[in-house]
Amino acid sequence: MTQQLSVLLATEGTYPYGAGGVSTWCDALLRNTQDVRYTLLPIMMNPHIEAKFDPPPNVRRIIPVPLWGIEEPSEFAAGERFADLYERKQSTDDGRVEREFLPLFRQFLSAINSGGSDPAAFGQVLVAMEDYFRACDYNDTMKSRPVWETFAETMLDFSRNAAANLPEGARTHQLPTLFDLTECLRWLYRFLIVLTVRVPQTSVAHSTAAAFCGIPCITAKLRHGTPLIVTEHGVYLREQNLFLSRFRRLFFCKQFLLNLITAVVRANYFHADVVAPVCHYNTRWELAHGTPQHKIRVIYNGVDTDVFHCGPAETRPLHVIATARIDPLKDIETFLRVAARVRETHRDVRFTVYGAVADREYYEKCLALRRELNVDVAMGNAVDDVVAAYREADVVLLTSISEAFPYSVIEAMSCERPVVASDVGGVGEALEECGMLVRARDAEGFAAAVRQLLDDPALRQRYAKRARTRVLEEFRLDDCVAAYLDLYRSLAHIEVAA
Amino acid sequence: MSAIDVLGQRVIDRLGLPKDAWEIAAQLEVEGMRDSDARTYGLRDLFELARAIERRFRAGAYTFFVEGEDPRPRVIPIVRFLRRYFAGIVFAVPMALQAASMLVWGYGIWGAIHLELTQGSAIALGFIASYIVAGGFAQAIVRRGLFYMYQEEETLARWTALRGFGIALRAMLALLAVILLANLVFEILPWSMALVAALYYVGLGTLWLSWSLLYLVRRMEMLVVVTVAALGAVLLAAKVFAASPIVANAVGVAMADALSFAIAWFLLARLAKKRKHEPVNPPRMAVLIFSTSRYFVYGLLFNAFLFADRVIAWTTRIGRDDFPPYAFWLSVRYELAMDLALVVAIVMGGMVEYAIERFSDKLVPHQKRVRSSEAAGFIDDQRAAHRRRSWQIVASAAAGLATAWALFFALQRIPDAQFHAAITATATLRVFAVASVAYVFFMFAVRNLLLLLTLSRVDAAVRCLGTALSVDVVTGFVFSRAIGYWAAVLGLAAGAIVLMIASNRALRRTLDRLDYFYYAAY
Repeated sequence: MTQQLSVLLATEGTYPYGAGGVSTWCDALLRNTQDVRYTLLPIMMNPHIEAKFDPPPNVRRIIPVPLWGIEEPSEFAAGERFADLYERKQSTDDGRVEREFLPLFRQFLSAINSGGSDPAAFGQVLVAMEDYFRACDYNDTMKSRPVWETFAETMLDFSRNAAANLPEGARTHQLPTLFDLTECLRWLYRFLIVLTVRVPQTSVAHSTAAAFCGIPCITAKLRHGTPLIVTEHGVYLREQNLFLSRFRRLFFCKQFLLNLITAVVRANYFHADVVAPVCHYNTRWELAHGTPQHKIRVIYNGVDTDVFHCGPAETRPLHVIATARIDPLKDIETFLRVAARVRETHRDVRFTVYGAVADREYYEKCLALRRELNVDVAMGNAVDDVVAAYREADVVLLTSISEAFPYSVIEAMSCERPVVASDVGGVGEALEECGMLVRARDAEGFAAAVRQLLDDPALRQRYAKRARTRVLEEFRLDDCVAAYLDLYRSLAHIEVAA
Repeated sequence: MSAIDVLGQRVIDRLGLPKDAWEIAAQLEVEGMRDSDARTYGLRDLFELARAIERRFRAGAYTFFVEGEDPRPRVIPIVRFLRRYFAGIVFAVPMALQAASMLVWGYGIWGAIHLELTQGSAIALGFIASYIVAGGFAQAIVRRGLFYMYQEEETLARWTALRGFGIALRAMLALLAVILLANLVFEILPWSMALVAALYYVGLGTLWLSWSLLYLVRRMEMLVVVTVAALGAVLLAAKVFAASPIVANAVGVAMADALSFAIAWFLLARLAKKRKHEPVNPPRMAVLIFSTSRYFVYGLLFNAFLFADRVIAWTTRIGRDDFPPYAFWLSVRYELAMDLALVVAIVMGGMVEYAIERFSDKLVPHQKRVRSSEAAGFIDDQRAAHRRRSWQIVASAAAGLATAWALFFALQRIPDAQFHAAITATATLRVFAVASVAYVFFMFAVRNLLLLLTLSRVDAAVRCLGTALSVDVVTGFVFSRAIGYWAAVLGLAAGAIVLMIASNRALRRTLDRLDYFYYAAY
């Protein structure tokens, strides 16, 4: 049998509205699978973000899901008549919320507070809540008094029990303030907007992260049996743990959000037919959160080796670059420290960070450090032609504290540039013997490696050649796309057309 | 200290209070540790190492530190009070400037001492109609615009504000066409009067809409600039070019319109420029109109409440000794009394603004201090603060009444026979006496309504206004027709009392569950 493959591709904060590795991967996948009809479901911060990518024609429909920047989800409810939205509002009152929604909401909160220990039941609650929001208004329900009171009661009970597990001095932080409860329910309001989305039935659902964008894919699986693929570029749960570690003063909020995220992540893993991390290193978190080994299939990212191909570097003075957005996870501060140390012995070496500012506060911190170190490093500008950036580089330096399988590494390798990178995530799997690995945050170690490469042109040449060969053998875009196409076909039980 | 405890303490120093072993594991990974490092501690992998550290933490092996709130910037209380008080009465500055100009030179922007009563009545009709009709649109524009401003979506704020401005202008013109058609059929007013009223309705309606844009960009001081420039234009037209009062006023209104809109346009464009690369992706128009319609109704009812008694008074001949020739005829004595009584509202307005700002300022810090299990105490404290602020407003009411009455008696000394006759008339005294007290109740109600709006309880505010307006109209109509035109002010008084009681009740219900209503206001 031959039939048209249709895929629901769900993204979160990435394609087509964000730049970065995941978006690059999505764009390559969509463009190189022309026979597949896609419905794109991007979850985005707000509806006013400019698209960074122009999706190809095989993307038949886009269902954007803005979480912030709206007063209520109906403002951007595509394909629904206003009369229906109005009727839904009219049919929602506190009595109906109490009768129909609160039992589901209690189950939902219980699942969150247990950190998603029963992902099967959690999935069923998500479907039931989705059904409820097809009949009742989201805004009027989530902002109703019964929901607030149930939330407050449930979370207070949970906190009292949880406080017993904390050391004496920490127990007061466990009990929520009114501000904590308000903020948490407001966040929940935003994150659950995804339950108001109606997606078409497709051959396969493909979530590009084990995150909230996976929820419509999970419910599609439970409703229609649509096979589910979850691709993990970074490990969403690890990244959220790192991000929320900033919430030092708001322990209850951090705990609530991490429990919510853990429940969602585990539901993604549980309901997925295939979990496809981009490197073996990521499988550690997936396995630890209950994903059976047989579901996991590592598919490395690939690059277009014709595009990412440039001759030997001809720059003078020597140039060390990073292609990384300005973000704490990229640890640009260590890059600056490395630059300062290398400059002590190699005065003429140039340092540049190519990448947009993703975190303005962190950028200011980096600028302050640059002034303090009195080091001349160009940074803060996005680059349109990344190949041109590699062409001018003698060494590519990646100082990230968290990575999966970064494009910046395999692109540099494809462009025959020697790489010095932190030994995090799947970077080691990419580099193997084709570059130098250094422990994250070890500025002295990075500086030593960079100096060694700058002083030894033959070594640079050797790493560059090996890197290009490795990319041609292991990390070609065609191989990556073919692996996904095979997955789509096998899960949808569709044979290749003759 | 063992090696694992050195590592554990380092991680806890970074995290403060870890949620669980997963958070610790993530932190170990960004420290650059791999599973092989965990084995140096005799553990299988990083997850086991994280669990070991978590166990030690829960057993109290490590010290931890969680920072408190940053200290709030110190503000000198009197400076804060004065800044907010004057922000609350800045709306009155254009009125005060016009009143001063009227006394010194005989001209305001939309009035002149020597204006014929026919023209004065027409201008009054245009003014009231414009104020009521534009009021709804202005509320909708400001509400939605501020929503986007707070989210730093200036491009969209500009788009919605200008789109709202365009829709409002078209709706106002469409309504005017219907009214003029009705006048053609029923011959309610002579055309000389109807056309002047229409001209001022359009001119002033545009002005109120432009001023709502200036409010949106938080540049209320521009109202003063516009008023001064428009008054200058009126005086230039009247004194230098010898234009008639009606033409001079028309020049002033046109100048105010053009200048207000130009300034608002420029300021909105400047704000939007910061995000010029972002696309404007407005919500569905039907949903947008639906969600802002409640604010439209609120603005409409509020402004209608302000002027209902005047309309009732000026549409009856009972008790009037100026023998109104038409269905709508301005009573200078009634207007003079109402303008003087407004002093009470102006004096109280600053205190109301201060009360609203203090409520907003203190709410979140208070919420941060109170555990959710102590919500009842939080509500009691908020109610106590509310009562304290109410007493401050009572004090401002006393000051307002004293100022208004002092001004009332002071103005009786002006040696202008016509003015003296008007201000000492019995009707003027009665209207002033009732209106000055009515404005006290009204300003308490305004405080309540603004607090309800702050907590997004616009439906409750609309219900209060709807009831109060009904009482105002019925009472005013009955008494004005039974006793005399001046008794329309009793409608305002009854309406204001009902508005205060109804809004008080709605606010009490809100404050009783402030924790919930604050959440839902988002």
